[in-house]
Amino acid sequence: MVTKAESNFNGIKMKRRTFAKGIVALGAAAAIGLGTKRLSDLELFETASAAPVSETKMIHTTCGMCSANCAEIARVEDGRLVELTGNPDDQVGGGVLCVKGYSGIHYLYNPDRLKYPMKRTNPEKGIDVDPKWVRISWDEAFQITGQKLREVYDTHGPQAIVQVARPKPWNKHLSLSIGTPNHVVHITTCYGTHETIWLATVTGTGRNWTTDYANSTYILSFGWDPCGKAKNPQARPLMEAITDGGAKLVVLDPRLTTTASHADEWIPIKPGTDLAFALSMIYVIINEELYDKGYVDTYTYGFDKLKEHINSEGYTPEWASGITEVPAETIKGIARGFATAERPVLATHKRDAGGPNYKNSWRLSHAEVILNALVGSIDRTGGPIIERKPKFPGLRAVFDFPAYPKDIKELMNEPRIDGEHMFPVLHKAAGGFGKGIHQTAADGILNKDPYEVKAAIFWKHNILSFPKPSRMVEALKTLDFVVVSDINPSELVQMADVALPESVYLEKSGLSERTYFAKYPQVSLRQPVVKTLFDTKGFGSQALGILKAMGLSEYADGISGKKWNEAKCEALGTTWAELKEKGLWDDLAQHPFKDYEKLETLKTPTQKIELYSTMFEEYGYDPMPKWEPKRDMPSAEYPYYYIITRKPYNLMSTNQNDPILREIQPENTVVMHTTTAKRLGIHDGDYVYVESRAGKIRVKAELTEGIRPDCVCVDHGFGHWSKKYTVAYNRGANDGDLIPIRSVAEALADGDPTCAALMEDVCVKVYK
Amino acid sequence: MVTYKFLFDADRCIGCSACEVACKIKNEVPVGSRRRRVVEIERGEYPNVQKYSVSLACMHCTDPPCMAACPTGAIYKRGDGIVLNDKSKCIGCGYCSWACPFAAPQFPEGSFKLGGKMDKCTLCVLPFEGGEQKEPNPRCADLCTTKALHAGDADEINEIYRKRVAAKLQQGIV
Repeated sequence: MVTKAESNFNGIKMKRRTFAKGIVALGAAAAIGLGTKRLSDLELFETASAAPVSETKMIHTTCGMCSANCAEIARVEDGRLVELTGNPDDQVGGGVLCVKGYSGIHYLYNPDRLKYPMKRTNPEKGIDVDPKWVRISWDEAFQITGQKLREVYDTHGPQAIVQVARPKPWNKHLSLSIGTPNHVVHITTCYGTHETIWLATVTGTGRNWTTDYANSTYILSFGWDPCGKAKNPQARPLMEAITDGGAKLVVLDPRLTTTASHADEWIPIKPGTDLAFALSMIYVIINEELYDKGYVDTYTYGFDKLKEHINSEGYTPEWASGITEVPAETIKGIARGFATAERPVLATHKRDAGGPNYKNSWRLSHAEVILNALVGSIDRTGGPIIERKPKFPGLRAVFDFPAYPKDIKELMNEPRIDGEHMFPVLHKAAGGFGKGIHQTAADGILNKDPYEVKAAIFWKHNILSFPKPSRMVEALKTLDFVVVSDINPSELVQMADVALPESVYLEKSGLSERTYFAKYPQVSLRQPVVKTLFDTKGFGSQALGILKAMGLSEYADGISGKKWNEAKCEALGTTWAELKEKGLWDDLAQHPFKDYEKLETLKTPTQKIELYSTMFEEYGYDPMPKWEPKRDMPSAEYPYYYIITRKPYNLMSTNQNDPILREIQPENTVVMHTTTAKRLGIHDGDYVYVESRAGKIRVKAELTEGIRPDCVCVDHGFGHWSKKYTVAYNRGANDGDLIPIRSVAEALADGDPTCAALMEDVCVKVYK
Repeated sequence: MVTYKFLFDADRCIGCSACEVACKIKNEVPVGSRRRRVVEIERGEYPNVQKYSVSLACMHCTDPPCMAACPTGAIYKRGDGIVLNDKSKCIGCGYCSWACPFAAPQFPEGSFKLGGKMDKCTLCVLPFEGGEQKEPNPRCADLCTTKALHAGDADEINEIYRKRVAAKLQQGIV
């Protein structure tokens, strides 16, 4: 279906001044198909001129499109941002950015951004319901928010307020100051599985993010596709390693992903059977004695138990072959190749096969840790590296404020709306302040289990990120008050009572510790590259404003992001002013990378990498990975495995309003094999229904040879129903509509310590 | 005299379209003209499938077929090899798009009697709106995340090509 926005794409040239006038006149209700046009047309408050540029500034800052936070340099001409490039001295970015990073300019100048605080005047809430927004001042926004939250706080208690936000310092401070245990993050749909397993079996704190691909000689991937996601700190060195470096790449994936297309071997693994493959690899490596004996003796715990377990269970390649449909000889070849390579690595990230995808994925994640440990790759050159990060002073070290109403340990013992307190290992993540279960929060609210929640604060999330998002829509309708902080007019914003517009990272200040690639301590500075375009604030200011308005000003007075940044710089031995000029600070001279250094200070119960997890044993989970199949299997009614992905230009469901990106990818698709399509009478480009036991979507079909015939794949980021997204509205469909909600009860029955959302553990039918 | 050239290495391309976005931004190119774009090519039958991405734009050919096909002489080649279209002479007939093997010519305002001007890669010498020619500064190549795309002086480009082929020879691939 061609939308009005699409039909404007070809041909209509809009002069910049006319366009700017048009937007000012139409305000938030602008329905001009943003068939936009030029970058200069997006520039609203400074009329561009044809005169030559008089002042060009190159400003150091840090990208904020994803969590990698590549250091970047902004080229600003007469106050207009015209280009973003990488910083060659940055470990993370390596001198370049990715497609999302480069398109950050459009993100900044998008005319559909939230421009000022707003309050809802239509009491009705729901999909396609117009909130009838009215502009308000920040004072009024804080006053309403503070009053409503305080009412709930006084009448029902702090736990009746839930915050859905990343576990960033300002968000944690907000939840802790209020004294609510209900801080819900999306990790069970994202990195929660690997995070929980690494916490239990490797670090005692959480997972690492750094993989030293550039120095690897054999890269093995179970469903991890860094190239297809254009993950700069990973894709770039991986491509270098396999081209100039001559490294071998082996990828197991039901689909021929971009990474798989560059591999020496692509194994089209049956979804949910990667675990069997991994277990039989462990069998070969242990029984053929291909493991790194020195490393295993020095740094791991439980080898003998593991060996006994693998053998008594009979996890042979022949056994695995029956389950995976991969020949036993192929499995043996890969096991031997991997183990005997000079510097092998089994690369994982967030949403690969060991992520929260299948019922057995948490076991795969542990098996992947074991495989890396057996070949001695963890914390060595070419392997998964535990970050070397500088120490920043916490909020309490810099500012004077009273103790929180409840100590973190106290809060940790309180029951939560998402049931996370029933998963003790997951609960330990985030250094003691739980990260929450994304997919169960809606049901908790609807079922008032274990108590009623009456208000919600959202930051940097969207409804489309919840499995079965209609459930969260229903949950939000039951609340007395919803405040949403966002940059864009997302679906979640349309469900809010008050919308707080946030500044884009290009307008903000901060410091980034290079978490995504830190072989040595390095920090990247973020500073505004343009004057704040609209009447927006950073979330730090918003959180402090909310606390003051709630009557909790003792947790806000005297506190500022600016002072905190300055204190952090002091701790590094520099100043904010100095760092602004250089962009990057590092401590390489004092901390050159040394193999295995971080293995000396592991915080697991045995202080070793636990092949046999004593923490899992303590809490009643299986201490070593055991075979079990995935949950949903193909049936007569739902014959196809459902897998999901995301194209590299899409930042989750937040940046689809960019017309340039929509020219590249107008909408998402369901990718299926040509023979599957033929059998169903489907041609390339046909609109089809994809239906699971959880829901149904209508989406465009894309045919390929590069996918298992028993699988179909939909990519994420579409199905926007917020009409305020003039470009993104009504394109494609939301993959998450098909994902059943994996409940607390189910995860407890399954003995899954991660309460993963099981993002791909469902089967579908496809029809025209 | 410098001769400008593009080099595209399919072994490194991850099909992310950073090059397309870089070009759009630098040259303020509107939706409707895709001076550079990525196409995906697939060969074979499951499970023996090869898939790769190609970043496609004007290759500033040594002997440009578009120039030969152009009836008004709008398309011309500079001494340094860069092929440009003089939009003041362009009648939007579309013949160049038939001749070009890379589908480089773009017609954001229509062609074939609609009279729209042909737009294409200028090695960042001319933005969409035209004006004074700038120094060649191909952003697509500079910004490529995996260094799959290179542009610049032919001697430098040839050197990169030589090094990459040498690496493959050493690994016994070629």
